Amino acid sequence: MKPLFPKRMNLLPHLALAMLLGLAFLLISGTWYYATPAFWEVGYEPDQPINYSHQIHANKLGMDCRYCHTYVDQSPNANIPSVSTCMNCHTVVDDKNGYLKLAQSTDGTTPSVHWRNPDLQKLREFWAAGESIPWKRIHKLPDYVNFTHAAHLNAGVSCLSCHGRIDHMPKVHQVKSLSMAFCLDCHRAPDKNLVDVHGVVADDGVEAPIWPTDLTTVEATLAQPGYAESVGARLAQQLRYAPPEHCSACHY
Amino acid sequence: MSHATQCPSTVGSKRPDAPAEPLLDGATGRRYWRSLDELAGTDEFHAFLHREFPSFASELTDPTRRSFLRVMGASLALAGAATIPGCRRPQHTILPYSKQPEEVIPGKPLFYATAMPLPGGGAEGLLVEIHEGRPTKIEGNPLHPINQGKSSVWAQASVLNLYDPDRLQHPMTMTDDGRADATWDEFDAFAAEHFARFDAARGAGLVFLVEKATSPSRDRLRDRILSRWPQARWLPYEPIDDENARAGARLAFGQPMGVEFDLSHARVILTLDRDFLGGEGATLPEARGFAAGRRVSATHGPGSEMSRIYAVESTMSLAGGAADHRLRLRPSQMPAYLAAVAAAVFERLSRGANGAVAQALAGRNDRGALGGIDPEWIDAVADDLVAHRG
Repeated sequence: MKPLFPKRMNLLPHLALAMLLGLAFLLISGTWYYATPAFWEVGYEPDQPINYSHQIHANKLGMDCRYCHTYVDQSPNANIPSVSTCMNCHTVVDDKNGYLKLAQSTDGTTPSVHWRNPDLQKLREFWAAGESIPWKRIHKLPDYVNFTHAAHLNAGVSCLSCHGRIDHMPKVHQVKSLSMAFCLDCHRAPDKNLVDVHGVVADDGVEAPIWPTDLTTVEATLAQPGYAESVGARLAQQLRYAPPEHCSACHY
Repeated sequence: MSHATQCPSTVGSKRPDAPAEPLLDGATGRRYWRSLDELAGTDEFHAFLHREFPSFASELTDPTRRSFLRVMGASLALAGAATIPGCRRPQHTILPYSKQPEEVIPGKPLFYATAMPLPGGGAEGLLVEIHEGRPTKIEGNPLHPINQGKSSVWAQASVLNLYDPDRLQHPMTMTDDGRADATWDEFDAFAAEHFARFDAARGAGLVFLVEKATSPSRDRLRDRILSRWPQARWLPYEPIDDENARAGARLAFGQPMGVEFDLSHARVILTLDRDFLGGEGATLPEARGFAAGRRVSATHGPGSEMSRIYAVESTMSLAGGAADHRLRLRPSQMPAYLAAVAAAVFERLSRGANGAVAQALAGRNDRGALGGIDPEWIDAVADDLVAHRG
């Protein structure tokens, strides 16, 4: 009797197999590329309740990162400043027109902000209510990772190695992937990220590290050709750093 | 009413929001009921039914396949519509302080030294570990002479006390509707008018019923109260008390005293219903002494032998579990046992008991009351006690 299907249907299983393989390839390569912190998390730039600009404060005004993030060298968490820290400056106005001015800045201009600036208005509302400002968290590691800021700061890792040039960001976004691969890259070869933080030794023998405050200088220093081999290696050897590479260093 | 709006379980019975009537009133034929509440048709039952099965929540009343698939499809579509925006990275919030307190480093704990009164008197020194204002762990204060770094079970458990929702945080008054929050100003006003009559009567008729404690601060407060109201009465009372132990101490030492044993030097210890490890009395020093007595050092000399513990008790206790020999006796048999052991000890010491002790022993040396206990428990214990006396 006449066959039910035309002969070209014999190709169907081969086609199906090819498409299946193609699909598997797409799924795997897609996951490989897209389902990583480097893709998902780099560039995350949420809206914050108050449009605080690091570019103005940390760059133009030249404030040190640690004026606000005070316990970054003592605590596992780098603390976000309290409202009282902001109000250290923003309670006053300098002239009768309502401007808060600074006489000097890093680019020679006279930066000023007006009392009625809407962000300052929101800040004052939070301060009056005694409430915390609900900042949206940007750099977040999973809960099974235990990361200690203090250990890294005291070893001489600068802020910009992991957070990038925050002082160039009007709105903070994540620049590094902060994946485990990112951490291990440095842990296996820390020399290129170390900055000299030797400081003064106080009377009680406790050394207070000094971090270079200017991220531009730090970036330039780290970018010098041969830095890792010379300065970085010397630092690592003098201080006998051994950044841990075993699992229980961070997962405990 | 139509099935689309009524819960299937109430079909055939009264509407949930109808006035409550007993189920079987005026019914003919069979009426099935599942609980007595349903039978009685109480208001509470109808309210419960309404909450449990709100009449609008049930969509599956129509038993056709089409309507079932329709409802399932709708819920699946809704779930899918909710999942797509829900797939985004969750937003975490950082909430720093508004006004950061001094000395608090977020992420690192602060330790505060404090003290806690022990039940039955005394106190222990504690270190409380605090994370951003929340106490998380309580340990003994290493510098405190009683604790020396250890803490009792009450101290460990008291960390939960700190989060007790019933912990009074402000004064409260009793109103017709129950307890209500009040302020210290309201209490001042209340006290001014209420205690005025006690001022006139110099405190007659006023009683302070307090728990037993040895707090010097509280004693100072008591002195101030009693100096203002000399006729007032200050009654420390505990429902579970060691009054008997105090009476015994009064017999033995002339004054009511709390007793704390130094077990580190005792080579043979006989405890009669006193759990020195589990919470009776001064547990921390006694446990420390017990452990020191059991610690065998390598050299010869006083530390080279473990202490031996005989525990005679009526319940299972930690001291009984740690003891080398344990005898189970009823509390009513304890005096007889003690008398028998004391008599055996005096016999071995070849001297009689002196006046008061002999008097106490006289009526009690009744071996019959001890029932069938092993006579070794009297003789061997007495031998041991005498051998290691001092």
